[in-house]
Amino acid sequence: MSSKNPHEKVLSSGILKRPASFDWEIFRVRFFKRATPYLFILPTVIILLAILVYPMINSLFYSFHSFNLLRPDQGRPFIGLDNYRALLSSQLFWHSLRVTLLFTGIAVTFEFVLGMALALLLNRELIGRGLVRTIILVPFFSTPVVIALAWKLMLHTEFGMVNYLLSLFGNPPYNWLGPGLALPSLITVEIWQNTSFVILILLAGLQALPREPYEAAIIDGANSWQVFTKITLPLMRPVILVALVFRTMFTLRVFDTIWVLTGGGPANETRTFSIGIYLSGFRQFDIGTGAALSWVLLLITMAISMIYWRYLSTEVEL
Amino acid sequence: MDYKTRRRVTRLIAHILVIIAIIIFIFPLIWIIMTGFKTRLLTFQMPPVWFFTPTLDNFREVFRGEVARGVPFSRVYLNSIVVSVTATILPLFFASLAAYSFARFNFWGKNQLAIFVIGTRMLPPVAIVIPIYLMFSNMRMIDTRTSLVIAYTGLNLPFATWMLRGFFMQIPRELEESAMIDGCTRLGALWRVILPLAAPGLVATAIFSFILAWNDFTFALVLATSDALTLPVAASRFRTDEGPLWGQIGAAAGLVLIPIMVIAFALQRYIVSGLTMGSVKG
Repeated sequence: MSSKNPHEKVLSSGILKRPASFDWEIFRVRFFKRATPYLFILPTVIILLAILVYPMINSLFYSFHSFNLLRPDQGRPFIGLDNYRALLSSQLFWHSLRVTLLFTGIAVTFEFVLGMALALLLNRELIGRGLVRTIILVPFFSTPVVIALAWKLMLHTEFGMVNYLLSLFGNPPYNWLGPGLALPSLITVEIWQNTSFVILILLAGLQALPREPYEAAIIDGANSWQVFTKITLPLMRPVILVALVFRTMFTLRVFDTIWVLTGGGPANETRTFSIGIYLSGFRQFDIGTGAALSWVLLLITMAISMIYWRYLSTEVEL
Repeated sequence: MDYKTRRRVTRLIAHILVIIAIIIFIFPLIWIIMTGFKTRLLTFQMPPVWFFTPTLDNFREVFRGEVARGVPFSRVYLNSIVVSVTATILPLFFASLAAYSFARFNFWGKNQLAIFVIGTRMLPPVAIVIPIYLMFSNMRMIDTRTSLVIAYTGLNLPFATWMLRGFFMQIPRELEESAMIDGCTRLGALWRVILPLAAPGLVATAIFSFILAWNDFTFALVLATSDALTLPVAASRFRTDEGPLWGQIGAAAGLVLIPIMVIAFALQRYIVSGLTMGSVKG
């Protein structure tokens, strides 16, 4: 019991006698006062532990075992780090890592640059700005599978819109989802799909900026590029970093659009980690390798978020 | 050029750029939905046909055919609605309680619990798809709507908690304190004072939860095989050995997107507030 409680002080001073028997009512009230915050959070914590954390720990357990659903006769012997060792020594793993990082790096960079440009554009006084903002939400909300199918049609070699438009300028038809072009095409779709998120976040940030620095800059005769680099960018830093963290985290794990558009092909050209996890788990039924790959993806996500996080928190304190 | 004309020209350029951006943003989806109203012959026509008499044949085909053996498209549609609605309500309920606690109480371990909740949000869903599959498979729950609802509830909870926490923190403490002086319990204050005041936040959170469940492909692909199939997986299956059935895909695409578009357009002001609450201020 804390001595800060005035009631307690009176009791200990001896003026009043402590009740001789255990007072159930007081216990009950105190218990609930203390326990309420935890009782409110408890269901959420239990659900998160059961549905997200438990599977992830299970996955760590599988990753230390040789476990193939097609070979139930072999059981699942403990093999230590062999799954990870096998991954690190396979060329496919390093190829996947490269594809994943290229996909994420290029997509997030373009999403940021385009998103910033469009956010600045939409921050002006435009006719029908509200409607424009609504339309921008469309790719962000649309079902990724439908987006993938829509782009599959757009990029179709014979009757796709993209090749048709290019043919107007005398270009031969390209096989956009074929060798050499599949990854750039996927990155383009990813950019198309997620620039809207960056626009909305940055636009919200731009609209929350204070006016005074801009007025001062105009009085001092700064040009718009100077205003952007010297005022907007520094003030927007926290918002920009949040947008980057979220986009990086979510791009690293993309599965649906890639799966529907290329399935990881041609010849593993677009085989990101997420595609690799699905293929090992549900095509080769090699749970051990799939689980190890899942943990590698999680660790990469955590590492990148941590780098951003450190940068973010120091910057915000400044 | 004087100052005024220069301003006018930049304004014009800004408008033109925005119009181009809008066309790029919506054209692919409009095009695939248009394909749903075309005959097979028109779909493959080059140069592309812009104006045509729409036909509903593809929609009829979609509803007449089966997505899996004995599973009509209407059943899949119903699955998607049931699963998404349930996976919206459940997280909203649990997240409200947790978010209220984070927003209002000071207690030992609060920061650690908060980090735990945000931490689970970082977890890539695709990284737990294998163990979740094995878990439900051991429980003989593969191909049930319940398994999908459970998975989506777990995936929705972290951001729902975080978003609601932000909305709750904006509500002044005095309001519920006066309610509690008037004899309300904690839960009563949450139910009668906080939740009605945080209605825009609840709507925003609900939209995001609904859309995550409605759009998910990764878990549905693995957990549902026939009876519990949802729309995204069904949409990806309209194909024969000769290739995709574009007309039916277009029709299905339209049917999948309609509810989302209605929600997004009707409730868009909540969406933007939720987006900035959940990420910028999170």
